[in-house]
Amino acid sequence: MELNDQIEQAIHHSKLVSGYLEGKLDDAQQAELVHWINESEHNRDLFEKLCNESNLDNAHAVFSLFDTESALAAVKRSPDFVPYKAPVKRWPAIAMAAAVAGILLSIGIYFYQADHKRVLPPTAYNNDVEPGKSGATLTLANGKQIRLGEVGNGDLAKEAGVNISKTDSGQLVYTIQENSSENKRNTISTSMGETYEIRLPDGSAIWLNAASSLTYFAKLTEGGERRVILDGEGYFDIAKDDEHPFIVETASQEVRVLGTRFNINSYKDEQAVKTTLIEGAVKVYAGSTGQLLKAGQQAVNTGGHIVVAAADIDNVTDWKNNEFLLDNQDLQYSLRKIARWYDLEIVYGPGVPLNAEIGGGISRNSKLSSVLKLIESIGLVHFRIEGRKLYVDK
Amino acid sequence: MSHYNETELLTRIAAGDQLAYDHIFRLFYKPLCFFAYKILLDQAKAEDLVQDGLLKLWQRRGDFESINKVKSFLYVSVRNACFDDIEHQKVIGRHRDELHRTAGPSDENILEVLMQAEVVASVFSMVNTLPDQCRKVIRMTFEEGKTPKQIADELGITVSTVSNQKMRGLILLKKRLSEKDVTLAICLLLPELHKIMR
Repeated sequence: MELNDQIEQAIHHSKLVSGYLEGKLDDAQQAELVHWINESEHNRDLFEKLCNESNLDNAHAVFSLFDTESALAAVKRSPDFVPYKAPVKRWPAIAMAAAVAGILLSIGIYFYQADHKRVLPPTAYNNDVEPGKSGATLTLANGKQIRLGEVGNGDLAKEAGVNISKTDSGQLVYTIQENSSENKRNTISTSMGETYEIRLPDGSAIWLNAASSLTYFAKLTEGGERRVILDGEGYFDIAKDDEHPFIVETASQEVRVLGTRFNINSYKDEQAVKTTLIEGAVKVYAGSTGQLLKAGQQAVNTGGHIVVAAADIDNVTDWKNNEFLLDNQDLQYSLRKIARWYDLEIVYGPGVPLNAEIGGGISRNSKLSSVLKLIESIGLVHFRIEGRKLYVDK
Repeated sequence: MSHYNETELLTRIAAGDQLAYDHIFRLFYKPLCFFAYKILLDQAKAEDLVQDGLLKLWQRRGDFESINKVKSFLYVSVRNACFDDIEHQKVIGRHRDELHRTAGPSDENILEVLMQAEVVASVFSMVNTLPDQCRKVIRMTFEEGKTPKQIADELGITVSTVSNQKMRGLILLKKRLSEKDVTLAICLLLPELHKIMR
């Protein structure tokens, strides 16, 4: 066999052996490795030698004799190293990252000396903050307000034609019974730190996030359509009813659905109203023309102008699954999410990287300190809690 | 690793992008030096020959269809350069006490040394120093290109745990790579690392 081929084969077999040692071979690769080992006594001995721990350590010690950086500098200083002057097309950063990351990991990122990072002062909070919980306020057509919390049935049920029960997970569910004669208009609203689940008589379910409200009509299908009004954020799981399109009205848009699952974020302190479709089909109207959404897409409505983009469903519906998912979102957005659940006021110090993207995920049932520690572990910001004020500093 | 990803990197090197070249240099330098050193038993010379080989790579940068071809080119070049040097030493009449080989190292020996270089490089790579689940998540994200949901399903964990492990892995990798060695190449090329690098 030609030298070139021999070397390529040796490289290939090395991958199998290292893959074995790192525990990442699939069945086919394992079979190939076993076959190679059994081919000859020489292969068997070689395999054992390669896997021997002290051999590996000794060999690794030899690696540290060589200085990569000065070598690289030396090569670049060589007169034969001619920099190429042609214009280089700028590849998108993500593609490049994926390419290199893939190579990095398939070939291996070498061990370099530890970097001594500056140590952040230990986190000490004045007080901690409990997470939000299930709760809401019902405002009847006549203006009367009723707190919904641990309230059972009885009078409440009579008044508003509703039934309140608890799901297995302890969530309070507010089921509207279609029994009242008048088509009363009721509003259920959550304050900061509250969330609620609502069931409509047609079988649709709506989850309300903190600081939000949903206005509905007791006779849901009045006028040939099912119409509700949303302020804040809601996750909708709408029962199919071809005869009665479901309409969610917010200040700047209307979303028409037949039967589907979607999330609408219309908080006033966010720049745009975001409608994310998980399943089914919806049309978003800001004005007379409707924008059709497909599953996995999001309509971003900025002052009546709608743009459709691909959506990260997990990130958008994290709250409904009782989690905070903070990947690929900037610091300010993530902190606004957190503030609504813990009922906080955020105060930013100078020099805080507001647009930095953070990451991580944590249950919404955690105390505030746990969430903050997760963000602090990235090393970008430092928090201080004082009562209901969250101070963010560099 | 998909062909598409590899092609991107190779195209970039072919186009004369020094950062991409630096990256390849840093990946291959040590195992190649180990390889050369085991043949020559002369550290300085080994490094010289490997540097020559990597310089040749730059000069021929448009020629390669895959990273594996780049690797084999480098090993073949370095092997030939080592053999030429041994022949040259013989001609000059110098002998080394440690070397008892008159015929020169056999090709079989060469391949064994190569395999040792490659296995050690891989096994001691940075990623393998990560805690178990971290490592799996990082590998599945960057090497296999899997989505968080796919990883969560495969490992039997939640999507938020995947997110945490990924972040944790990147932070640990960042901690373990010295400023100098990480360099712009990795910072610019791994967006997440760049975000947490200040």
